[in-house]
Amino acid sequence: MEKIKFTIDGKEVEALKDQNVLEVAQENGIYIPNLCSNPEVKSSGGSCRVCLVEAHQNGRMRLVTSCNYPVREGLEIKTETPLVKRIRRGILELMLARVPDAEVVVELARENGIEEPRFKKDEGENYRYKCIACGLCVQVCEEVVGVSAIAMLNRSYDKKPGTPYMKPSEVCIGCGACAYACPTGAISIKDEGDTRKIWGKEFKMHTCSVCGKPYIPEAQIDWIVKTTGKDRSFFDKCPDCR
Amino acid sequence: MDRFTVFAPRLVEKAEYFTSGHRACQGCAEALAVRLVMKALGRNTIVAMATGCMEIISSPLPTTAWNVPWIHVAFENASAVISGCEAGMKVLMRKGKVPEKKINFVAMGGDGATADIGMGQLSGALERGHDMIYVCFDNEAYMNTGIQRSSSTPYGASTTTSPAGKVSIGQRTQKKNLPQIAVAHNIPYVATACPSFPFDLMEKVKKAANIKGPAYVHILSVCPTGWRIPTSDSIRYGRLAVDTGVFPLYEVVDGKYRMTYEPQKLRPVGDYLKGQGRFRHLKDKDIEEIQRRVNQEYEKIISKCGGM
Repeated sequence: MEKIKFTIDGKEVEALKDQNVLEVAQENGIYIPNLCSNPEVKSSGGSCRVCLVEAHQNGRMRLVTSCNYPVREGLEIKTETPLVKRIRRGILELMLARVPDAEVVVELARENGIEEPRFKKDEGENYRYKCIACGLCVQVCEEVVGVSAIAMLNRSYDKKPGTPYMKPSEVCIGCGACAYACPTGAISIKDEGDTRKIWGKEFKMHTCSVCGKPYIPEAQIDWIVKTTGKDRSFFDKCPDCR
Repeated sequence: MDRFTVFAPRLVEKAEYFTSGHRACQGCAEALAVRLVMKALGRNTIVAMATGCMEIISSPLPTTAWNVPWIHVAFENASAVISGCEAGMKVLMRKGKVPEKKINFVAMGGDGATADIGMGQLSGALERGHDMIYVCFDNEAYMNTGIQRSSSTPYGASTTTSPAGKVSIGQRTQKKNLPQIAVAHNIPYVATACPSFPFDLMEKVKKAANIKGPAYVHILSVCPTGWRIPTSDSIRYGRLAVDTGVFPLYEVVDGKYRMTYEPQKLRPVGDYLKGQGRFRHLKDKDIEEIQRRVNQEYEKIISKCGGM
Protein backbone atom coordinates (compact mmCIF):
# COMPACT_ATOMS: atom_id res chain seq x y z
CA MET A 1 0.00 0.00 0.00
CA GLU A 2 1.03 3.52 -0.74
CA LYS A 3 2.10 5.59 2.26
CA ILE A 4 1.22 9.27 2.40
CA LYS A 5 1.78 12.18 4.75
CA PHE A 6 -0.71 14.78 5.89
CA THR A 7 -1.39 16.88 8.97
CA ILE A 8 -4.01 16.75 11.72
CA ASP A 9 -4.14 19.81 14.00
CA GLY A 10 -0.66 20.78 12.80
CA LYS A 11 0.84 17.39 13.63
CA GLU A 12 2.34 15.53 10.69
CA VAL A 13 1.05 11.97 10.51
CA GLU A 14 1.68 9.03 8.23
CA ALA A 15 -1.10 6.83 6.90
CA LEU A 16 -2.01 4.38 4.18
CA LYS A 17 -3.86 5.80 1.20
CA ASP A 18 -7.66 5.48 1.53
CA GLN A 19 -7.64 5.03 5.29
CA ASN A 20 -10.22 7.34 6.80
CA VAL A 21 -9.35 10.43 8.79
CA LEU A 22 -10.98 9.23 12.03
CA GLU A 23 -8.98 6.02 12.09
CA VAL A 24 -5.67 7.85 11.56
CA ALA A 25 -6.55 10.44 14.19
CA GLN A 26 -7.30 7.75 16.75
CA GLU A 27 -4.04 5.94 15.97
CA ASN A 28 -2.22 9.20 16.67
CA GLY A 29 -4.03 9.94 19.90
CA ILE A 30 -6.21 12.76 18.56
CA TYR A 31 -9.75 12.52 19.88
CA ILE A 32 -12.66 13.12 17.53
CA PRO A 33 -16.11 12.38 18.98
CA ASN A 34 -18.11 9.87 16.94
CA LEU A 35 -21.20 7.70 17.29
CA CYS A 36 -22.30 5.93 14.13
CA SER A 37 -19.06 4.49 12.74
CA ASN A 38 -17.79 1.02 13.52
CA PRO A 39 -14.43 0.09 11.98
CA GLU A 40 -15.60 -3.51 11.56
CA VAL A 41 -18.58 -2.49 9.39
CA LYS A 42 -17.30 -1.13 6.07
CA SER A 43 -20.39 0.77 4.97
CA SER A 44 -20.91 2.44 8.36
CA GLY A 45 -20.41 6.10 9.13
CA GLY A 46 -21.37 9.49 7.81
CA SER A 47 -24.83 9.77 9.30
CA CYS A 48 -24.59 11.08 12.85
CA ARG A 49 -22.42 14.09 11.75
CA VAL A 50 -20.79 14.38 15.17
CA CYS A 51 -17.30 13.70 13.77
CA LEU A 52 -17.27 16.74 11.44
CA VAL A 53 -13.81 18.28 10.85
CA GLU A 54 -12.36 20.95 8.58
CA ALA A 55 -10.48 19.56 5.58
CA HIS A 56 -8.14 22.02 3.84
CA GLN A 57 -6.77 21.12 0.43
CA ASN A 58 -5.62 23.13 -2.59
CA GLY A 59 -6.54 26.34 -0.82
CA ARG A 60 -10.14 25.28 -0.27
CA MET A 61 -11.88 24.24 2.92
CA ARG A 62 -14.72 21.77 3.33
CA LEU A 63 -16.50 20.42 6.38
CA VAL A 64 -16.38 16.63 6.11
CA THR A 65 -17.33 13.67 8.27
CA SER A 66 -13.97 12.26 9.35
CA CYS A 67 -15.26 8.70 9.69
CA ASN A 68 -15.59 8.18 5.94
CA TYR A 69 -13.30 10.81 4.40
CA PRO A 70 -10.30 9.16 2.70
CA VAL A 71 -6.90 10.71 3.42
CA ARG A 72 -4.83 12.22 0.62
CA GLU A 73 -1.30 13.63 0.30
CA GLY A 74 -1.06 17.20 1.56
CA LEU A 75 -4.44 17.20 3.26
CA GLU A 76 -4.76 19.46 6.29
CA ILE A 77 -7.29 18.45 8.94
CA LYS A 78 -8.39 20.72 11.77
CA THR A 79 -10.53 19.23 14.49
CA GLU A 80 -10.97 22.02 17.04
CA THR A 81 -11.57 25.26 15.14
CA PRO A 82 -14.36 27.64 16.29
CA LEU A 83 -16.44 26.69 13.21
CA VAL A 84 -16.22 22.96 13.89
CA LYS A 85 -17.02 23.48 17.55
CA ARG A 86 -20.05 25.63 16.77
CA ILE A 87 -21.49 23.19 14.25
CA ARG A 88 -20.81 20.18 16.48
CA ARG A 89 -22.62 21.89 19.33
CA GLY A 90 -25.56 22.61 17.06
CA ILE A 91 -25.77 19.00 15.94
CA LEU A 92 -25.51 17.67 19.47
CA GLU A 93 -28.13 20.11 20.71
CA LEU A 94 -30.62 18.94 18.08
CA MET A 95 -29.75 15.33 18.79
CA LEU A 96 -30.19 15.83 22.53
CA ALA A 97 -33.65 17.29 21.97
CA ARG A 98 -34.49 14.26 19.87
CA VAL A 99 -33.19 11.54 22.21
CA PRO A 100 -33.01 13.01 25.74
CA ASP A 101 -32.81 9.51 27.23
CA ALA A 102 -29.65 8.31 25.48
CA GLU A 103 -26.83 8.41 28.05
CA VAL A 104 -24.12 8.54 25.37
CA VAL A 105 -25.62 11.60 23.73
CA VAL A 106 -26.21 13.33 27.07
CA GLU A 107 -22.58 12.69 28.03
CA LEU A 108 -21.24 13.88 24.66
CA ALA A 109 -23.37 17.02 24.82
CA ARG A 110 -22.12 17.76 28.30
CA GLU A 111 -18.51 17.43 27.10
CA ASN A 112 -19.32 20.11 24.57
CA GLY A 113 -20.94 22.36 27.12
CA ILE A 114 -24.64 21.67 26.55
CA GLU A 115 -26.71 20.82 29.60
CA GLU A 116 -30.20 21.53 28.22
CA PRO A 117 -31.16 21.93 24.55
CA ARG A 118 -32.90 25.14 23.50
CA PHE A 119 -35.32 23.10 21.41
CA LYS A 120 -38.43 21.30 22.54
CA LYS A 121 -37.67 17.77 23.72
CA ASP A 122 -39.25 14.90 21.87
CA GLU A 123 -42.25 13.16 23.41
CA GLY A 124 -45.60 11.65 22.52
CA GLU A 125 -46.29 9.99 19.19
CA ASN A 126 -42.96 10.57 17.50
CA TYR A 127 -40.90 9.54 20.49
CA ARG A 128 -38.01 7.30 19.41
CA TYR A 129 -36.58 6.32 22.80
CA LYS A 130 -32.77 6.36 22.31
CA CYS A 131 -32.55 5.89 18.54
CA ILE A 132 -30.53 8.49 16.60
CA ALA A 133 -31.49 6.87 13.26
CA CYS A 134 -27.87 6.36 12.23
CA GLY A 135 -28.59 3.08 10.43
CA LEU A 136 -25.69 1.11 11.89
CA CYS A 137 -28.01 -1.74 12.92
CA VAL A 138 -29.27 -2.05 9.35
CA GLN A 139 -25.73 -2.11 7.97
CA VAL A 140 -24.69 -4.75 10.51
CA CYS A 141 -27.68 -6.94 9.65
CA GLU A 142 -26.86 -6.78 5.96
CA GLU A 143 -23.08 -6.83 5.98
CA VAL A 144 -22.03 -8.88 9.01
CA VAL A 145 -24.97 -11.22 9.53
CA GLY A 146 -26.22 -11.26 5.97
CA VAL A 147 -29.97 -11.63 6.51
CA SER A 148 -31.25 -8.03 6.03
CA ALA A 149 -34.12 -8.45 8.45
CA ILE A 150 -34.35 -4.74 9.24
CA ALA A 151 -34.23 -1.58 7.14
CA MET A 152 -34.64 2.15 7.62
CA LEU A 153 -38.36 2.93 7.42
CA ASN A 154 -40.03 6.21 6.44
CA ARG A 155 -38.36 9.49 5.54
CA SER A 156 -37.18 12.58 7.31
CA TYR A 157 -38.55 13.12 10.81
CA ASP A 158 -40.18 9.67 11.03
CA LYS A 159 -37.09 7.77 9.89
CA LYS A 160 -36.39 4.77 12.08
CA PRO A 161 -35.02 1.24 11.79
CA GLY A 162 -37.46 -1.65 11.83
CA THR A 163 -38.79 -4.80 10.29
CA PRO A 164 -41.18 -4.44 7.31
CA TYR A 165 -44.45 -2.79 8.48
CA MET A 166 -43.11 -3.25 12.04
CA LYS A 167 -44.47 -6.80 12.01
CA PRO A 168 -42.46 -9.78 13.33
CA SER A 169 -39.86 -10.52 10.67
CA GLU A 170 -39.69 -13.86 8.91
CA VAL A 171 -35.97 -13.75 8.19
CA CYS A 172 -34.66 -12.37 11.50
CA ILE A 173 -32.52 -14.99 13.24
CA GLY A 174 -32.45 -13.33 16.67
CA CYS A 175 -28.66 -13.07 16.88
CA GLY A 176 -28.68 -9.68 18.61
CA ALA A 177 -25.78 -8.25 16.61
CA CYS A 178 -27.82 -5.07 15.94
CA ALA A 179 -28.42 -4.57 19.67
CA TYR A 180 -24.72 -5.02 20.36
CA ALA A 181 -23.63 -2.59 17.63
CA CYS A 182 -26.13 0.16 18.50
CA PRO A 183 -24.10 3.15 19.77
CA THR A 184 -26.86 4.38 22.08
CA GLY A 185 -28.33 1.08 23.28
CA ALA A 186 -31.73 1.73 21.71
CA ILE A 187 -32.59 -1.80 20.60
CA SER A 188 -34.21 -3.90 23.28
CA ILE A 189 -33.21 -7.55 23.55
CA LYS A 190 -34.61 -9.68 26.34
CA ASP A 191 -33.71 -13.21 27.33
CA GLU A 192 -36.19 -14.90 29.62
CA GLY A 193 -35.99 -18.61 30.24
CA ASP A 194 -35.76 -20.28 26.85
CA THR A 195 -37.20 -17.41 24.81
CA ARG A 196 -35.55 -14.33 23.42
CA LYS A 197 -37.52 -11.25 22.46
CA ILE A 198 -36.17 -8.84 19.87
CA TRP A 199 -37.87 -6.68 17.21
CA GLY A 200 -41.29 -7.78 18.51
CA LYS A 201 -40.67 -11.43 17.76
CA GLU A 202 -40.16 -14.29 20.18
CA PHE A 203 -37.42 -16.79 19.45
CA LYS A 204 -37.20 -20.20 20.97
CA MET A 205 -33.71 -20.89 22.29
CA HIS A 206 -32.03 -24.21 21.68
CA THR A 207 -31.20 -25.95 24.95
CA CYS A 208 -28.00 -27.89 25.47
CA SER A 209 -28.64 -31.62 25.63
CA VAL A 210 -26.14 -32.09 28.47
CA CYS A 211 -26.54 -29.18 30.88
CA GLY A 212 -30.01 -28.00 29.79
CA LYS A 213 -28.96 -24.38 29.40
CA PRO A 214 -30.64 -22.45 26.54
CA TYR A 215 -27.82 -20.91 24.53
CA ILE A 216 -28.64 -20.12 20.88
CA PRO A 217 -31.89 -19.28 19.00
CA GLU A 218 -33.19 -22.13 16.83
CA ALA A 219 -33.49 -19.73 13.89
CA GLN A 220 -29.80 -18.91 14.12
CA ILE A 221 -28.88 -22.60 13.92
CA ASP A 222 -31.01 -22.87 10.78
CA TRP A 223 -29.17 -19.91 9.28
CA ILE A 224 -25.68 -21.22 10.15
CA VAL A 225 -26.54 -24.68 8.81
CA LYS A 226 -27.85 -23.10 5.62
CA THR A 227 -24.87 -20.81 4.99
CA THR A 228 -21.95 -22.94 6.14
CA GLY A 229 -23.26 -26.47 5.61
CA LYS A 230 -22.21 -27.44 9.14
CA ASP A 231 -23.82 -30.52 10.61
CA ARG A 232 -26.88 -29.81 12.74
CA SER A 233 -25.87 -32.21 15.49
CA PHE A 234 -22.91 -29.91 16.24
CA PHE A 235 -25.34 -27.57 18.01
CA ASP A 236 -26.80 -30.22 20.33
CA LYS A 237 -24.34 -29.32 23.05
CA CYS A 238 -23.40 -25.84 24.24
CA PRO A 239 -19.76 -24.67 23.94
CA ASP A 240 -19.10 -25.68 27.56
CA CYS A 241 -20.22 -29.26 27.13
CA ARG A 242 -18.74 -29.93 23.67
CA MET B 1 -26.22 -9.86 27.17
CA ASP B 2 -24.00 -12.86 27.25
CA ARG B 3 -25.72 -15.14 24.84
CA PHE B 4 -24.35 -13.40 21.74
CA THR B 5 -22.97 -16.35 19.93
CA VAL B 6 -21.62 -15.86 16.45
CA PHE B 7 -22.23 -12.48 14.89
CA ALA B 8 -21.77 -9.95 17.66
CA PRO B 9 -18.14 -11.02 18.34
CA ARG B 10 -17.30 -9.94 14.79
CA LEU B 11 -18.17 -6.37 15.73
CA VAL B 12 -15.70 -6.11 18.59
CA GLU B 13 -12.82 -3.75 17.91
CA LYS B 14 -9.81 -5.46 16.36
CA ALA B 15 -7.12 -3.11 17.70
CA GLU B 16 -4.98 -4.84 20.33
CA TYR B 17 -3.38 -3.02 23.25
CA PHE B 18 -2.11 -6.17 24.95
CA THR B 19 -0.55 -7.93 22.01
CA SER B 20 0.13 -11.56 21.25
CA GLY B 21 3.59 -13.06 21.62
CA HIS B 22 3.77 -12.67 25.38
CA ARG B 23 4.94 -15.61 27.45
CA ALA B 24 1.87 -16.74 29.34
CA CYS B 25 1.23 -20.46 29.82
CA GLN B 26 -1.03 -22.30 27.45
CA GLY B 27 -4.68 -21.69 28.18
CA CYS B 28 -4.05 -18.73 30.47
CA ALA B 29 -7.40 -17.04 31.08
CA GLU B 30 -5.71 -14.21 32.94
CA ALA B 31 -3.89 -13.04 29.78
CA LEU B 32 -7.24 -13.22 28.01
CA ALA B 33 -8.80 -11.11 30.74
CA VAL B 34 -6.07 -8.45 30.42
CA ARG B 35 -6.58 -8.38 26.66
CA LEU B 36 -10.34 -7.92 27.01
CA VAL B 37 -9.91 -5.22 29.65
CA MET B 38 -7.53 -3.31 27.38
CA LYS B 39 -9.88 -3.70 24.41
CA ALA B 40 -12.69 -2.21 26.47
CA LEU B 41 -10.57 0.71 27.69
CA GLY B 42 -8.96 1.66 24.40
CA ARG B 43 -5.93 3.75 23.62
CA ASN B 44 -6.10 6.61 26.12
CA THR B 45 -5.05 4.51 29.07
CA ILE B 46 -2.20 4.50 31.57
CA VAL B 47 -1.57 1.24 33.36
CA ALA B 48 0.33 0.66 36.58
CA MET B 49 0.86 -3.01 37.18
CA ALA B 50 1.94 -4.71 40.34
CA THR B 51 4.41 -7.58 40.21
CA GLY B 52 2.78 -10.83 39.29
CA CYS B 53 2.18 -13.27 36.48
CA MET B 54 0.98 -10.66 34.01
CA GLU B 55 3.92 -8.34 34.61
CA ILE B 56 6.44 -11.17 34.23
CA ILE B 57 5.01 -12.61 31.04
CA SER B 58 4.34 -9.31 29.29
CA SER B 59 7.72 -7.63 29.73
CA PRO B 60 10.76 -9.91 29.41
CA LEU B 61 13.52 -7.33 29.03
CA PRO B 62 13.98 -6.29 25.42
CA THR B 63 10.32 -6.82 24.55
CA THR B 64 6.92 -5.69 25.71
CA ALA B 65 3.36 -6.74 24.97
CA TRP B 66 1.88 -3.35 25.83
CA ASN B 67 0.70 -0.77 23.32
CA VAL B 68 -0.15 1.79 26.00
CA PRO B 69 1.95 3.61 28.65
CA TRP B 70 2.69 0.99 31.26
CA ILE B 71 4.54 1.16 34.57
CA HIS B 72 5.75 -1.83 36.49
CA VAL B 73 5.74 -1.14 40.21
CA ALA B 74 6.42 -3.20 43.28
CA PHE B 75 3.92 -5.65 44.72
CA GLU B 76 2.27 -3.29 47.15
CA ASN B 77 1.89 0.08 45.47
CA ALA B 78 0.13 -0.19 42.10
CA SER B 79 -2.87 1.73 43.43
CA ALA B 80 -0.66 4.35 45.09
CA VAL B 81 1.32 4.92 41.87
CA ILE B 82 -1.77 5.24 39.68
CA SER B 83 -3.37 7.69 42.10
CA GLY B 84 -0.16 9.75 41.82
CA CYS B 85 -0.38 9.55 38.01
CA GLU B 86 -3.97 10.75 38.12
CA ALA B 87 -3.20 13.65 40.43
CA GLY B 88 -0.12 14.59 38.38
CA MET B 89 -1.94 14.56 35.06
CA LYS B 90 -4.72 16.66 36.54
CA VAL B 91 -2.20 19.34 37.46
CA LEU B 92 -0.43 19.16 34.08
CA MET B 93 -3.76 19.57 32.32
CA ARG B 94 -4.67 22.53 34.51
CA LYS B 95 -1.34 24.20 33.73
CA GLY B 96 -1.84 23.55 30.03
CA LYS B 97 1.27 21.37 29.62
CA VAL B 98 -0.81 18.40 28.48
CA PRO B 99 -3.87 18.87 26.25
CA GLU B 100 -7.15 18.21 28.04
CA LYS B 101 -8.54 14.78 27.33
CA LYS B 102 -10.08 11.87 29.09
CA ILE B 103 -7.49 9.37 30.23
CA ASN B 104 -8.28 6.07 31.92
CA PHE B 105 -6.02 5.42 34.89
CA VAL B 106 -5.87 1.74 35.59
CA ALA B 107 -4.07 -0.17 38.31
CA MET B 108 -3.81 -3.90 37.84
CA GLY B 109 -2.74 -6.53 40.26
CA GLY B 110 -3.10 -10.19 40.97
CA ASP B 111 -4.87 -11.51 44.02
CA GLY B 112 -1.63 -11.50 46.01
CA ALA B 113 -0.96 -7.86 45.19
CA THR B 114 -4.55 -6.95 46.01
CA ALA B 115 -5.70 -9.12 48.89
CA ASP B 116 -2.43 -9.51 50.78
CA ILE B 117 0.37 -7.08 50.05
CA GLY B 118 -1.35 -4.06 48.49
CA MET B 119 -4.46 -4.11 50.65
CA GLY B 120 -3.63 -0.95 52.60
CA GLN B 121 -2.61 1.06 49.58
CA LEU B 122 -5.72 -0.04 47.68
CA SER B 123 -7.89 0.99 50.59
CA GLY B 124 -6.18 4.37 50.69
CA ALA B 125 -6.57 4.99 46.98
CA LEU B 126 -10.26 4.07 47.08
CA GLU B 127 -10.81 6.29 50.09
CA ARG B 128 -9.08 9.33 48.50
CA GLY B 129 -11.56 9.18 45.64
CA HIS B 130 -9.17 9.29 42.67
CA ASP B 131 -10.72 8.89 39.24
CA MET B 132 -9.17 5.48 38.64
CA ILE B 133 -9.99 1.83 38.10
CA TYR B 134 -8.47 -0.99 40.07
CA VAL B 135 -8.63 -4.33 38.29
CA CYS B 136 -7.82 -7.42 40.31
CA PHE B 137 -7.02 -10.59 38.39
CA ASP B 138 -7.82 -13.28 40.88
CA ASN B 139 -6.26 -16.66 40.10
CA GLU B 140 -6.48 -17.73 43.71
CA ALA B 141 -2.78 -18.17 44.61
CA TYR B 142 0.70 -16.78 43.90
CA MET B 143 0.99 -18.58 40.60
CA ASN B 144 4.04 -16.82 39.21
CA THR B 145 6.39 -17.94 41.97
CA GLY B 146 5.06 -21.49 41.99
CA ILE B 147 1.57 -21.71 43.47
CA GLN B 148 1.87 -20.47 47.03
CA ARG B 149 -1.31 -19.83 48.94
CA SER B 150 -2.71 -16.31 49.23
CA SER B 151 -5.61 -15.05 51.31
CA SER B 152 -7.71 -15.39 48.17
CA THR B 153 -7.18 -19.15 47.91
CA PRO B 154 -10.46 -20.99 48.50
CA TYR B 155 -11.04 -23.47 51.31
CA GLY B 156 -9.68 -26.93 50.59
CA ALA B 157 -7.33 -26.02 47.73
CA SER B 158 -3.97 -27.71 47.77
CA THR B 159 -1.02 -25.41 47.08
CA THR B 160 2.72 -25.76 47.68
CA THR B 161 2.50 -23.90 51.00
CA SER B 162 -0.79 -25.48 52.03
CA PRO B 163 -0.29 -29.04 50.79
CA ALA B 164 -3.07 -31.55 51.25
CA GLY B 165 -2.12 -34.76 53.02
CA LYS B 166 -2.86 -36.95 55.99
CA VAL B 167 -3.04 -34.07 58.45
CA SER B 168 -4.18 -31.11 56.37
CA ILE B 169 -7.06 -30.59 53.99
CA GLY B 170 -5.11 -27.96 52.08
CA GLN B 171 -6.07 -24.33 52.52
CA ARG B 172 -7.75 -24.18 55.91
CA THR B 173 -9.28 -20.70 55.76
CA GLN B 174 -12.05 -19.24 53.64
CA LYS B 175 -11.45 -17.03 50.65
CA LYS B 176 -11.25 -13.31 51.42
CA ASN B 177 -14.25 -11.55 49.91
CA LEU B 178 -12.50 -8.65 48.15
CA PRO B 179 -15.45 -7.14 46.23
CA GLN B 180 -17.30 -6.75 49.51
CA ILE B 181 -14.30 -4.98 51.04
CA ALA B 182 -14.35 -2.59 48.07
CA VAL B 183 -18.10 -2.06 48.49
CA ALA B 184 -17.51 -1.16 52.11
CA HIS B 185 -15.47 1.87 50.94
CA ASN B 186 -18.70 3.33 49.50
CA ILE B 187 -17.12 3.83 46.07
CA PRO B 188 -19.33 4.46 43.01
CA TYR B 189 -18.67 1.21 41.17
CA VAL B 190 -17.73 -2.34 42.12
CA ALA B 191 -18.16 -5.37 39.87
CA THR B 192 -17.14 -8.98 39.54
CA ALA B 193 -16.42 -10.45 36.11
CA CYS B 194 -14.96 -13.47 34.39
CA PRO B 195 -13.30 -13.76 30.95
CA SER B 196 -15.57 -16.72 30.18
CA PHE B 197 -18.29 -14.05 29.83
CA PRO B 198 -16.40 -11.64 27.56
CA PHE B 199 -19.20 -9.20 26.69
CA ASP B 200 -20.22 -8.89 30.30
CA LEU B 201 -16.59 -8.22 31.28
CA MET B 202 -16.05 -5.57 28.61
CA GLU B 203 -19.31 -3.83 29.45
CA LYS B 204 -18.39 -3.66 33.13
CA VAL B 205 -14.92 -2.27 32.43
CA LYS B 206 -16.39 0.36 30.09
CA LYS B 207 -18.86 1.32 32.77
CA ALA B 208 -16.07 1.56 35.34
CA ALA B 209 -14.12 3.83 33.00
CA ASN B 210 -17.05 6.17 32.42
CA ILE B 211 -17.93 6.57 36.07
CA LYS B 212 -16.23 9.46 37.87
CA GLY B 213 -14.37 8.35 40.96
CA PRO B 214 -12.75 5.10 41.97
CA ALA B 215 -14.01 1.81 40.56
CA TYR B 216 -13.05 -1.73 41.47
CA VAL B 217 -13.40 -4.72 39.13
CA HIS B 218 -12.69 -8.19 40.43
CA ILE B 219 -11.97 -10.73 37.70
CA LEU B 220 -11.78 -14.46 38.31
CA SER B 221 -9.04 -15.68 35.97
CA VAL B 222 -8.71 -19.41 35.67
CA CYS B 223 -5.11 -20.66 35.86
CA PRO B 224 -4.72 -24.11 34.30
CA THR B 225 -1.20 -24.48 35.70
CA GLY B 226 -2.08 -23.75 39.31
CA TRP B 227 -5.54 -25.25 39.34
CA ARG B 228 -4.24 -28.41 37.70
CA ILE B 229 -6.75 -28.60 34.88
CA PRO B 230 -6.29 -29.33 31.16
CA THR B 231 -5.22 -26.16 29.31
CA SER B 232 -8.15 -26.46 26.92
CA ASP B 233 -10.69 -26.22 29.75
CA SER B 234 -9.93 -22.83 31.27
CA ILE B 235 -12.96 -21.09 29.72
CA ARG B 236 -15.16 -23.97 30.79
CA TYR B 237 -14.05 -23.74 34.42
CA GLY B 238 -14.73 -20.01 34.44
CA ARG B 239 -18.29 -20.72 33.35
CA LEU B 240 -18.63 -23.52 35.87
CA ALA B 241 -17.51 -21.21 38.67
CA VAL B 242 -20.34 -18.85 37.75
CA ASP B 243 -22.93 -21.56 37.07
CA THR B 244 -22.30 -23.29 40.41
CA GLY B 245 -22.53 -20.02 42.35
CA VAL B 246 -18.92 -20.16 43.56
CA PHE B 247 -18.26 -16.83 41.85
CA PRO B 248 -21.50 -14.88 41.28
CA LEU B 249 -21.36 -12.10 38.68
CA TYR B 250 -22.79 -8.86 40.04
CA GLU B 251 -22.21 -5.15 40.04
CA VAL B 252 -22.75 -2.49 42.68
CA VAL B 253 -23.51 1.00 41.41
CA ASP B 254 -23.66 3.58 44.20
CA GLY B 255 -24.52 0.91 46.73
CA LYS B 256 -27.23 -0.72 44.59
CA TYR B 257 -26.64 -4.39 43.86
CA ARG B 258 -27.57 -6.01 40.56
CA MET B 259 -27.02 -9.57 39.37
CA THR B 260 -25.69 -9.40 35.81
CA TYR B 261 -25.90 -13.10 35.09
CA GLU B 262 -28.26 -15.45 36.85
CA PRO B 263 -28.07 -19.14 36.11
CA GLN B 264 -31.58 -20.60 35.97
CA LYS B 265 -30.61 -23.29 38.43
CA LEU B 266 -27.32 -23.56 40.29
CA ARG B 267 -25.27 -26.59 39.37
CA PRO B 268 -23.89 -28.69 42.22
CA VAL B 269 -20.53 -27.36 43.34
CA GLY B 270 -19.00 -30.81 42.79
CA ASP B 271 -19.08 -30.19 39.01
CA TYR B 272 -16.64 -27.35 39.55
CA LEU B 273 -14.41 -29.02 42.14
CA LYS B 274 -14.07 -32.53 40.79
CA GLY B 275 -12.12 -31.81 37.62
CA GLN B 276 -9.52 -29.71 39.36
CA GLY B 277 -6.31 -31.28 40.59
CA ARG B 278 -6.01 -28.86 43.48
CA PHE B 279 -9.30 -30.17 44.93
CA ARG B 280 -8.83 -33.80 44.05
CA HIS B 281 -8.23 -34.96 47.65
CA LEU B 282 -11.59 -33.62 48.86
CA LYS B 283 -14.02 -36.22 50.20
CA ASP B 284 -17.80 -36.07 49.70
CA LYS B 285 -18.16 -34.73 53.24
CA ASP B 286 -15.86 -31.79 52.46
CA ILE B 287 -17.69 -31.06 49.23
CA GLU B 288 -20.98 -30.96 51.13
CA GLU B 289 -19.46 -28.48 53.56
CA ILE B 290 -18.24 -26.32 50.66
CA GLN B 291 -21.69 -26.56 49.02
CA ARG B 292 -23.29 -25.28 52.22
CA ARG B 293 -20.89 -22.33 52.35
CA VAL B 294 -21.43 -21.50 48.67
CA ASN B 295 -25.23 -21.57 49.02
CA GLN B 296 -25.03 -19.36 52.08
CA GLU B 297 -22.83 -16.78 50.33
CA TYR B 298 -24.92 -16.90 47.16
CA GLU B 299 -28.14 -16.27 49.07
CA LYS B 300 -26.50 -13.31 50.78
CA ILE B 301 -25.76 -11.73 47.40
CA ILE B 302 -29.23 -12.54 46.05
CA SER B 303 -30.90 -10.94 49.05
CA LYS B 304 -28.73 -7.84 48.60
CA CYS B 305 -29.91 -7.66 44.98
CA GLY B 306 -33.47 -7.38 46.23
CA GLY B 307 -34.32 -11.02 46.81
CA MET B 308 -35.05 -12.15 43.27
